Amino acid sequence: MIRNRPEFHLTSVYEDGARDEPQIVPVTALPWETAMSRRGALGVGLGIAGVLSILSDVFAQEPQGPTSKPAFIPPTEIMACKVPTAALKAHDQGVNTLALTSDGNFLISSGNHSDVKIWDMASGKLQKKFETVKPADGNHRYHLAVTPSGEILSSWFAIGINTTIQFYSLPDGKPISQIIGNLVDLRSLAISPDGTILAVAGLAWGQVDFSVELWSLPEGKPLGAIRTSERGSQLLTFTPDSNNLIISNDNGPLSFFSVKEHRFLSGANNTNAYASTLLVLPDGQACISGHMDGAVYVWAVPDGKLLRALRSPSTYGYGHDVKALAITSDASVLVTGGADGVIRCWSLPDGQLIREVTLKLSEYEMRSIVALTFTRDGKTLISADDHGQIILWDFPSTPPGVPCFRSYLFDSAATPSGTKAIAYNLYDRVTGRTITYTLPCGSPIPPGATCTCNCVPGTSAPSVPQVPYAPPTTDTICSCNKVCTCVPVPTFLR
Amino acid sequence: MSTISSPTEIGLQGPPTVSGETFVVPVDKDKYLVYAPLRRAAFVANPRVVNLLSAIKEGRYEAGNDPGGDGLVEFLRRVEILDAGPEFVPNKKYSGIPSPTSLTLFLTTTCNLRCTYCYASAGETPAKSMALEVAKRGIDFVAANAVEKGEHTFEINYHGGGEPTGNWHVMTESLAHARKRAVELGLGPPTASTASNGVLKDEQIDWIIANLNGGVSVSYDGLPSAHDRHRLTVLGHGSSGRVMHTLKRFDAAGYPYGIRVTVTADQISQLPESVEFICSHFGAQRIQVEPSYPLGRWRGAPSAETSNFIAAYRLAQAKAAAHGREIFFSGARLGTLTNHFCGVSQDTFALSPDGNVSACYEVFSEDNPLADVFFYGQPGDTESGYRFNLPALDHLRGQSVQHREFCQGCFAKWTCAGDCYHRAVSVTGELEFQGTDRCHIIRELTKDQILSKIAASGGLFWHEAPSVTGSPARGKESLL
Repeated sequence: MIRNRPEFHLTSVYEDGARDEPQIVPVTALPWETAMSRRGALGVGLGIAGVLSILSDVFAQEPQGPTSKPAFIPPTEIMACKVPTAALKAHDQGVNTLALTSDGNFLISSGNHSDVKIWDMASGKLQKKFETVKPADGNHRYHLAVTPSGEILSSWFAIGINTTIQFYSLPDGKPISQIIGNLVDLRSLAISPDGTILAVAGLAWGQVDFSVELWSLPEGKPLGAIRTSERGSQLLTFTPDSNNLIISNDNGPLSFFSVKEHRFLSGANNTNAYASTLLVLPDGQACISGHMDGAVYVWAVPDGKLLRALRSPSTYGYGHDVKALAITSDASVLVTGGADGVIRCWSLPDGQLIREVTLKLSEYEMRSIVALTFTRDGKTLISADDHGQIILWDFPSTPPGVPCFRSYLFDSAATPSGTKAIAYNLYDRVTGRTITYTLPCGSPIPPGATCTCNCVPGTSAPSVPQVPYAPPTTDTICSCNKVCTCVPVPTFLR
Repeated sequence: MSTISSPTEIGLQGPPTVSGETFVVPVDKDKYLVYAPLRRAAFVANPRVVNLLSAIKEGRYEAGNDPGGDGLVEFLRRVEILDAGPEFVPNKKYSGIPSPTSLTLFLTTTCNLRCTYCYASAGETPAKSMALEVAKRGIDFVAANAVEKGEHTFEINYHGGGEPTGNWHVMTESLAHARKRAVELGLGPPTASTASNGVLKDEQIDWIIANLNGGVSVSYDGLPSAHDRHRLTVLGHGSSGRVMHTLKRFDAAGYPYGIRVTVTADQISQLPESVEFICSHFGAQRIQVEPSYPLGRWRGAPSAETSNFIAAYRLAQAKAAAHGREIFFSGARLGTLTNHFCGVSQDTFALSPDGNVSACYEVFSEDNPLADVFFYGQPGDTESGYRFNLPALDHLRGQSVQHREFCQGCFAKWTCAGDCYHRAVSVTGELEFQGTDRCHIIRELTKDQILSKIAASGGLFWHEAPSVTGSPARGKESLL
């Protein structure tokens, strides 16, 4: 039997001569709902202007104006914000720290096993990964920071070996230079916001006192050392004007040190538990410390006066160390992350708790939130935990302080074999780029997102029919292709 | 409301250009589906849109002269049909000596059933069963390839022109050997799967659940009355009871399996109820529906590749959707962008019972009239390895869709990718593909899928980022 070759390539079709308006015809029903005739599945044609109008409504997500002081919103009242539960990982052995470049283009994360990863924030994809130097004896602790000029600064030490601070370029991760310090038992790194000073805290070799070493950047010349206390200096952070260095000490107090004048200004001494994390407000007028006992304190800079104490009723007792802090650019919302796996959002300056989001591995196992940071536009909160996950949260201004899970930063090589995932695309109207996010199976996807299929072949049919085109108002379960919706991570990506 | 911008306002220079391969498919009077498969973009439009787009393609369009056209250009850029840069063309191909890491073993030509439509005429052909040494040789070969390529592990599939579990000793012992080999070579445990008619003893079901981590494809035709009409035991009895027992045991164990439904012409009207029955009673992860092949025992029987099949398939889809499930047909797979329908052009490494190498799951015996076409290798002279007939293999490698003249103008070419070569050659007798009755089914169901995508995406258009499929392999593989 001779069959005609099919020919469907684009070519003109017959018209009756009238120059009709170009129209897009909506598909309003699924084909199998209309038996043999497709006519029942097609709607009335829409003019192009109307189509473009609908498209711009979908892509436009204008922020609402600010409301008055937020009230605490119990978790049960928030229906749209889901909490992630599954195991899509950025690092296979836990995240150590996060750092965002000053232009916001790259996020750098370090894992507990010396792995450093560079993430392109525009696409959400892993750009590069490499390993920092690992000491032969295995005793090491890693710290990470990013210079304002866009270099990654990664340090390591081993007991008995001097502190080495290695610089890597961005975004390629190539090692460029090194500083060898005189400290062991390195506790903290900080870079001044103007990028001219590096401060390193640790135990001076051959000494019993703890010190903070200062180095000039980018030359790497030593500027001097600050002796702090016998108990040790745990954490460092600079004020935004780069003039003052805030040092937390082992037994709790904070010290404020003037870098220009090379002298201590004052201290804050109203706490018993030592600080596990420090943050300075964007205006430099106050700093915030999170402590091992779950408390959070707001201190005036530079006089050290206690301005506010924050504590949630759920943080009393063991295991609620505050390990991470982040603050919105207008300093209206403080976000804390704890060893209890809870992200807490507080309104400032009143210190009212707005929201708690708990990340759990299981009923009995919790994650520890080890790092938090906001993107430059303040609309995304990024969290990292000791399970190896980096999570992106939408952080809308209304209602303020209510993070909604969006996606993971995901490295397939760090994800356990057999893990399944879905992927969806979201068009970013600002950058004009389509970003692909990866989520655990069954996760809801945000309005306006479209599913992608990421591996094995299969047919495609939606599981949930949609009404004629309108911007969805609720989360949508990913419904692109059930075979592709939830599939193992492809081996060739490992 | 958005404004309609001219090309200069949105920063582009010069006239718009069509970004790649675009098809136009009639769906109704004065309504056309515009579909760019490699952009994974589609919408339905009136003739004016099609003619404007055609004018752009032919360089006859002038911006600014036609307000409707300018708005259309804006829309087409959004869906990447215009001015989107080069598109990814699937062009996976192999060359050189094959180095597979996936093995298929045709364990036996014997079968405990006598299905009326059996493509292999199992039970009527000389009985051949694979020896364990034959299986081991194949396993050692793919395992060594996996080591050489740095892959995590290798794969074993059990198939038959008969029932693979009929050669139980070799199935179980070969898998044990494969596991041992993997450990010796430092590989991960091999992935193992099988096809089966589902007529199994409980101890066989136990072993499958415990050992075949890749799942099972069970041939089962749905309603017991439909199944028992064609899938008969040697004594002529229906086998549905035994198969349902197997499926229920898989469900109880949470074991992953798929069901393959074969539809004969006389069973088409029952297909929706059969799918409803399957969805209501069993938890199969995948339900494949195929019209019976006019091969083997069913050659000359009335064809099921008809418009009635399409109608019944649609109703069956609705039944499955009501249960939150899906059915699929092999040639209509919108989720895939590829240049090959199956492994025939991708160095499939399948061993006949005698140990010779076939590229096709349906050509399992050297007695097959098309053995010369699909067999391309045999055991080497030494204790290991194989000798390959590269000209025969290269002919098979050339069966990807970009080499099919017949398929070039078909809008389903990058998803169907040329359909089953063996089936086409068997039915038409021509080595050069000239189309089959399945082509119409594939196009109609693919069209349904595209329209479904549009509906699910809000009703106006569908656009997704293309996905990369396939995995690296040696010979040499290139992806353009």
